[in-house]
Amino acid sequence: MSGLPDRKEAEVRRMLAGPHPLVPPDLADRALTRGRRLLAHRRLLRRLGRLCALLALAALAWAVLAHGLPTPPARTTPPAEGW
Amino acid sequence: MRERRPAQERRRAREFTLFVAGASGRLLHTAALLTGEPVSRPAPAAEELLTCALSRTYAVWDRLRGDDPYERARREMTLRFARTARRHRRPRGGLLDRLSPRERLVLVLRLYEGVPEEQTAAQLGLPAERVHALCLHAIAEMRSHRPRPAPSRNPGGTQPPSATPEPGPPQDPSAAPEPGPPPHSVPKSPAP
Repeated sequence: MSGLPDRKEAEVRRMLAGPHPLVPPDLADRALTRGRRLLAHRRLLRRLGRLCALLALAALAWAVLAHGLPTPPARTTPPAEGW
Repeated sequence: MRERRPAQERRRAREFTLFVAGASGRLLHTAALLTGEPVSRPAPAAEELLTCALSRTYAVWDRLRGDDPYERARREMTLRFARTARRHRRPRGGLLDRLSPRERLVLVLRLYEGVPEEQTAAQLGLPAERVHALCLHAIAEMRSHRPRPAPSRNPGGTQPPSATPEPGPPQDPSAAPEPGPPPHSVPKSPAP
């Protein structure tokens, strides 16, 4: 199992480890700028999400305080009398 | 906390720049192998792939916590390439032109990056047997075309054939006496 496939793998490995492409000098700067933008974007989204959650919680608290919990509808009809 | 942020950002940027300076050569080679671009010319698709992966690595830099940033960047690159594989089907004249994007991904991860089979399978969401089969097929394909391309084969074929002419272990004897292949035989690039 190990002999032949290993030799083949090593051969392809040699082919893959050819010359490396030239790295453009501004690659790190470009990645840094883009990463910063991504980070700011995520931070903004997180803040918006927190704000939404807070608003929803406040609305819920106001609704409960102002109107009280709604009573469930009666399960039986009231007795009909006097006809 | 407000005052600490610029210092923290500067430290992060410094560490990140150092990391990129050390790792970008190898990562760009990996990216160029994946996108199928030749190494002799600038590789815009590979650079775009790498820049995106690096920027995402930067965005999680503070949460790496002992994880290898190289592995993280490679995983981001792998995921993005797997997601956008359809864009990279057209041959661009690189070394792995004859392989499908998924075969390229498996071959590069397994043989160039040395990622174990189970980990590759988990990253790609494939069964390990499928990864094994893809890798074997890719190796057979690479080896069968290693000697100079036969004149009968049409060079304008855009898609790699689904079945290799010689997938099995019996290898062609013509390959044996050639001791050292040129490390990089670029097939001529068709520009459709």
